Amino acid sequence: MKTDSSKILVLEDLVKYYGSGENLVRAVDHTSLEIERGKFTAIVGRSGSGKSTLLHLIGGLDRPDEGKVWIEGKDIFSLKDDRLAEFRRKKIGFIFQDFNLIPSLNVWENIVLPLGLDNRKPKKQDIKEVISRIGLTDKEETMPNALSGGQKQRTAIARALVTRPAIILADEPTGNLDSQTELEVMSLMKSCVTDFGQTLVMITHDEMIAQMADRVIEVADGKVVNC
Amino acid sequence: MERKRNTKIKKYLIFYLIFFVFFSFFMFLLARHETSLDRQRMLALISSHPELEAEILSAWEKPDSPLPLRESSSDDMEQTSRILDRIEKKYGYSTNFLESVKELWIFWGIGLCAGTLLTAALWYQTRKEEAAFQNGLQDLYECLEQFREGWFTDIPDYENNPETSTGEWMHIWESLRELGIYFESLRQSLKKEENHTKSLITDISHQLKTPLASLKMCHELASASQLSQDEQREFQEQEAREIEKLEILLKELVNLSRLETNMIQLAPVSASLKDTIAKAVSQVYMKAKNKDITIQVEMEQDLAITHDAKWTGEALVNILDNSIKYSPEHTAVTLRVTALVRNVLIEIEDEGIGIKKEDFAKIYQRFYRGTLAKNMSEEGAGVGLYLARMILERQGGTISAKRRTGKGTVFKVTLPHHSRTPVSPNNLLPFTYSSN
Repeated sequence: MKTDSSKILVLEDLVKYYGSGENLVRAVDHTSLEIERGKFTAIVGRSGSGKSTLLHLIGGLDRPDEGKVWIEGKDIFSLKDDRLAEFRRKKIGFIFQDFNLIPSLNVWENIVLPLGLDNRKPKKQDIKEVISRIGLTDKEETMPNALSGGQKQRTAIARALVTRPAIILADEPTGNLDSQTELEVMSLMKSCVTDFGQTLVMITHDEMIAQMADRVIEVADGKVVNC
Repeated sequence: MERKRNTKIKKYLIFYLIFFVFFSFFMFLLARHETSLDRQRMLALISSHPELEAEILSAWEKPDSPLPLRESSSDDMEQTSRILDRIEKKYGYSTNFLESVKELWIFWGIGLCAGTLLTAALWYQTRKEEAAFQNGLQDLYECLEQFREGWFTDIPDYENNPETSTGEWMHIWESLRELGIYFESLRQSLKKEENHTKSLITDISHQLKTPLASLKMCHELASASQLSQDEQREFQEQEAREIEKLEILLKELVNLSRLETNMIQLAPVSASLKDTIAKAVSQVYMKAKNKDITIQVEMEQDLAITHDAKWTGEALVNILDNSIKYSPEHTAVTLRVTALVRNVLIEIEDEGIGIKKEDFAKIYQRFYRGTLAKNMSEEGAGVGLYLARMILERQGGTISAKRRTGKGTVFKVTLPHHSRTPVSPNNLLPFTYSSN
């Protein structure tokens, strides 16, 4: 496997334990996986099954005790912290359940924020295209507190899309939305995966959302039990 | 790269020019200083010996004759040289040119050395850059060679190489890396498509085997001579039914393979959703009536949405057909349309046998049939939901199913109000931003 950069994501025997002795929690217990480019993969499992820890390791938000994560042929944990942060900003888009928008910035500013962090020149036309695709063209100047839940999450999706990351990681992105908005956001994310050729890895406990995925990975007690 | 090197050379030239101008200016100042000192000496002499003014002036005006007494006799010459010797011994003065301009020589030497050193340093630097540039080109050439041989992902470690970790080289390698990834994914998707077609052919031939075998059996039985006429007729009827089933299956398989191999492109246009639904319902109406299943459509107002009416209708028929097939008699199937902000939600509810939890993720797989479905009916190839999902997703829609509280299943279908032009499923063009 090594430096085969055609594979978008490869996990090699990942291990992450918390606590010790009696309280040892095997959050991720010797997990190996390969994820296909341009596909929507859902990770399902009960709460406490280790799926969030797994996603954090994939995204380089947390370092594993053992094992490796390869993204486009790069062993991400071989990077020093500052290089890892830079790699993460360029290659990985995150979408969280609670949106994580900056309240003092408007929609447009929130969306271009990750580009500014790397001194990348945002191409106005490309950003406009993403925003219109996401349906927020008339909300560019709006502040986050004036948005509905669905609009907030759509802003977060646009923010994850503008950097054109290699992979988008989403942790229960529709967890805070009502069922109709959930369907709208999901149909949007799904078609963005197709339109922009994005690779999406999403944690969900919702059966209906898992059905929309190209592949479902079930996690229990830190292990992949079904995929 | 060339442009950058040119600007560097330009910088060197400008630096040299400035150095040259300053040097010349300095020399000019020095010369002026010498001249004014000379004048002052002359003036001092004239003012202390006004009677010798003519001699002094003539001595200065003829700088070629080092001493005013040259034209006089040899005795005078001798005397002069003796005076000179005496003065030289007493004060350390010398008429030796080299001695008197020693400071200038030292200055000149330093200037020469500095200039030489600078030039050498610049030359060395240029050589080094040139070498790095050549190495970079060599790496690039080797990399392109690899590309030609089909190794798209063997990019040298440019980030940790000091020669190539600078601006424009980084940019080139970064682009090359992305190009390699793009080529590789193209190759993989081609390969995937090939495997896909292979498995499609295998699946289809497998699907055709069973009905063909039973048709063959019916035919053999029907043509057996020892049967009574009634029995023969019965088998003939059975044969006709088998042929009909085979026809339906063939039609499904043709649709499937055409859609899957992109022989049919969906053409979404703005059209009435009500018409599409009405057509779909009318297609399954007879089947429902035979089982006394009522189909109820709840739609407050007609909506014009961008969709491919024919194929969207086909998708709805497939879902409705399933609902009817797997529902007991005297039940109801409800189709409810709700307009959401960006999508239209179509819910299809039945009171049927439902789907097992572990089957939910698999029902959209090609030729997959749920455990309960298999038990209930022999019919069905497991194509309907697979087709429905493909049709809906290509128009930017979704489909998902859920168990109803109570009994049965509800399918939730979404379609965007304004679908964009459908994209080919293998559209993997990478996007890049200019970074600096």
